[in-house]
Amino acid sequence: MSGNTSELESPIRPLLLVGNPNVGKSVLFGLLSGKYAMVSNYPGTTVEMSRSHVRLEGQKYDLIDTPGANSLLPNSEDEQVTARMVLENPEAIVLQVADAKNIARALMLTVQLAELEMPMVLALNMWDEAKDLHLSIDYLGLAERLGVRVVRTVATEKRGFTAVKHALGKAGIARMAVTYPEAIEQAVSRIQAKLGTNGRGSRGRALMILGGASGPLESLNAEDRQDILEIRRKTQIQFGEPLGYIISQTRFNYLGQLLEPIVGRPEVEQAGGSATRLAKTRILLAIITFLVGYKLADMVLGITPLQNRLGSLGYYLLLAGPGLLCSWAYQRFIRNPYFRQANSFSELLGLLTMRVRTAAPLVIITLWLLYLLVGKFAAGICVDFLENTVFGAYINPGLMYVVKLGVSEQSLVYKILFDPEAGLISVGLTYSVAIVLPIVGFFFLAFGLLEDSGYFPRLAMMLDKVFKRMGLSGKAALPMVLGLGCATMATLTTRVLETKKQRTIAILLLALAVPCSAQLGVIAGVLGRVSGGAFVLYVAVIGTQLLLVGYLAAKILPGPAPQLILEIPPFRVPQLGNVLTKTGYRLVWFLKEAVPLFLLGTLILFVLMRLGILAQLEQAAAPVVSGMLGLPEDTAKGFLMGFLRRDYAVVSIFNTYRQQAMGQDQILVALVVITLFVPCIANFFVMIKEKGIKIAFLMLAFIVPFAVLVGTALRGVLILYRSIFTGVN
Amino acid sequence: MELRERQIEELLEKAWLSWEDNGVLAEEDFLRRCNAEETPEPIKALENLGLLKKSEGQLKFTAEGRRRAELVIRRHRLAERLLRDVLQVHSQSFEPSACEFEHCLDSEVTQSVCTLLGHPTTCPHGKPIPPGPCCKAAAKDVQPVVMSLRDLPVGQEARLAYISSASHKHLDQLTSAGLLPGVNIHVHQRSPAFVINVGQSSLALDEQIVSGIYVRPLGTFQEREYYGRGRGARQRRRRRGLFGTA
Repeated sequence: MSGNTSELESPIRPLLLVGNPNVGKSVLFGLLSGKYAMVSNYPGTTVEMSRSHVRLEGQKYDLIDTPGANSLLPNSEDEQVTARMVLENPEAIVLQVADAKNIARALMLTVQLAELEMPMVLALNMWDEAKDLHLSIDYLGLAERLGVRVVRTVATEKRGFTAVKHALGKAGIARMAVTYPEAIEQAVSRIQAKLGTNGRGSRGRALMILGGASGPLESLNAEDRQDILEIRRKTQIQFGEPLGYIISQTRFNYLGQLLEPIVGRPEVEQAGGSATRLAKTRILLAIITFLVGYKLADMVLGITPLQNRLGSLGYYLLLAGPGLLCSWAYQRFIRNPYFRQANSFSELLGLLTMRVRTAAPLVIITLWLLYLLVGKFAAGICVDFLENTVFGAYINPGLMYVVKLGVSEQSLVYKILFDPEAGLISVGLTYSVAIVLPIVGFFFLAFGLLEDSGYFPRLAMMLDKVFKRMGLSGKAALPMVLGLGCATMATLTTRVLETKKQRTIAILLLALAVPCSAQLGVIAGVLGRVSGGAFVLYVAVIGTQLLLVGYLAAKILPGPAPQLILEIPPFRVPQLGNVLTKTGYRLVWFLKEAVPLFLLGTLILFVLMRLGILAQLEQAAAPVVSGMLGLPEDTAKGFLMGFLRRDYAVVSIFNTYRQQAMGQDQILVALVVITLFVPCIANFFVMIKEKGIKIAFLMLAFIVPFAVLVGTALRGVLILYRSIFTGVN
Repeated sequence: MELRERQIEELLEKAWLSWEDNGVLAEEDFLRRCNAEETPEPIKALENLGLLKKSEGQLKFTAEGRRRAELVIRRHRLAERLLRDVLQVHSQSFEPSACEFEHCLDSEVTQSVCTLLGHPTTCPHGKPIPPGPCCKAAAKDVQPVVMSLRDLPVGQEARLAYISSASHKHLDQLTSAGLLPGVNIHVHQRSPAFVINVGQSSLALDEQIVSGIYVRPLGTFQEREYYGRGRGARQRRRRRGLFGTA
């Protein structure tokens, strides 16, 4: 025992970050711990908890970031995690992070913390946004009323952060005494008696139980638990509405009175509409919309032989027509008073992305920019440079030289490393670092920008009707989009969906038709080299398959119809710093996760090749691969490797294409099959974990033949199309 | 002994509640609810009046008894709604008043109240209100004071009156997202999905859920203001289907 521990306080105190979803808990966690936690502009980013030991003003804390919760009466698995963390750490300090704009909602949580008698500090985050809205909050008055420290913060700009650190040392229990209807009060005191004498926060626990939570019951013996449930049942009979609802309503009315003198709203609404009147915005929109019209016309007319007939100048002039038309129509549209509400460009974007007619062009622009960035720039320029210059001219020859000093060129070790078809360095490392890494890196960057803007929940809302056809609610768009990042991770996040049916369909579709970022990046890169039309066709084919299978699954599987309840965060201009950090972390994760698998795959390939098994496998698969799909026989190798890493398959096909062994149509067919084909091994394991071995294999048994069938059909259509066009010319 | 009309109604109400909670008219439960001092033998009294009968050892309403009980319950629960949603009487004080109302509303007034409220189906406690003839004939020609959020014009400010949802889960989700009786909300858009604004947050909701949310519109709404005024405003209003409000 050292002298230090003789102090009254225990050396390490848990410090819980609690708050409503999407209020910036993770940003604050990052600031306090110096560690990075995934931060995005949509609710539900923190699925698992981050924790870290920190020392703030001399006190050591065990800092824990909890998933966003609107209430400690858990409605979803996230909220359950948060409720449990609070219950299991009664000696903890709570740092409640609140969205200053939505202070009433935040205080609903504060009431519950007060009833649980948790010492706390309240951080009113996003103070800048509240100020922009001309909301006046008397935070000192609030602090006095509640008897706890209230700190204003803007976490993303690191403002108010020192004050938070300082306030933590003086955390206290909030003074909020809500009186519930008589019957509930009686039930509370009876349950409190059952919960025993060590009852700090027993009132809060009792109310949680009445509201329907089972968490506080876990530590009790069976008899007490029965008694308490009986009390709850009897109390419920006296009300027609659920007790939880009545409790919330009482709290809400209480807060209404509490906040009356504290929150002031501007008397006069701000004269809106500056955004649409800003010359900058108007010119920007005109240019963008012109380009959209232009590009759309190009995509439609580009596949016809019109370009050759008119000559390039005539063709470009022709395209300018639809461009101008598009620009004019959009300008007229934007003059609608609805859009005049917007006061800034990001607010305008927020409004634009919520209407089908205005959002559709934005989706096209986004996809097009993505294609330019990932397909043209990353997969073209960056890959060429890395592969031919960095690896081709320096790293590989250098390593070869070093290794040759030790072993001869004929030895097995040298072959394993530098075999031109399956060497660990010449193929495995080169593929993963020189080809996949830059593509994935730029994809992550673009994805991060979209993520932080708050665009995805809008997309989810927009797609709700379409998703309903697939038996899913729009909310399922979030795991789907996340699936574009990593299907394995996305399969886990299907937990946000409410029903079993929705989860099954989402998991199936993720495994079948959603390419993961590495794969999508490489595909965009490959198709970027082929043609823009091919990319559009690819998206169309995969999209229709997604809809078709989803539609059928929704018909077959039993279960209730999905319902949409989704919060839409405000549109924000992404912070480059956060996006870059996030991309960096994702790239590190990719390197750790993917490169070893690439190397393992290459090694397996090398062994199979050496033993002659590969040739046999290719032969066995020949009727399907070359007979049905019309692809070169050695693409079978790619399909096989696809099970290890989805992107591996694409790179290997890409290489065959570059060696001129495949035509444009062939590569399109190959990519469609690869996308639909088996999920990668990690994804498959998660499927087993989530849905059981039987359903996972059933899904697999459906996916593999289906992929081949779609590929065959696509090949047929392409052959037909070509024959018609060559006939015309 | 002779019972007063009021006492009969009280007894019928208790019989109905007992039947509603238990699924059957259990003698014991019914007796427990009755105040023994006021009416010593309630079952016998009602049987004598031809409102209850015993068949195969099971207590039941007669047709007449059921009709009258339904009317009492209907008046009581409509009164609760009226007091709470329209007159904004909160806390416990509306309950005793509703008890008084149930005895004094005549059928015409009951119908007017029901129409005024937009033929509600549940009382503020979530229990069903037996429908009357006016509910069956309910047409949309009267603008109710309380209306479904689905019918609220885009942009119109309104106060949430009550939520009727079949699913506790949805109710909890809505509650924790800040949708509670008393908050001010407005519909931001109807298509492709409903988006409603509560305070400073936006919530995308299904049409089905939106239909179960009832609101009291605030102030007189001038569509013109929301869609702009001056030159072209009329054209725009005509075209507003284009902007998803049709």
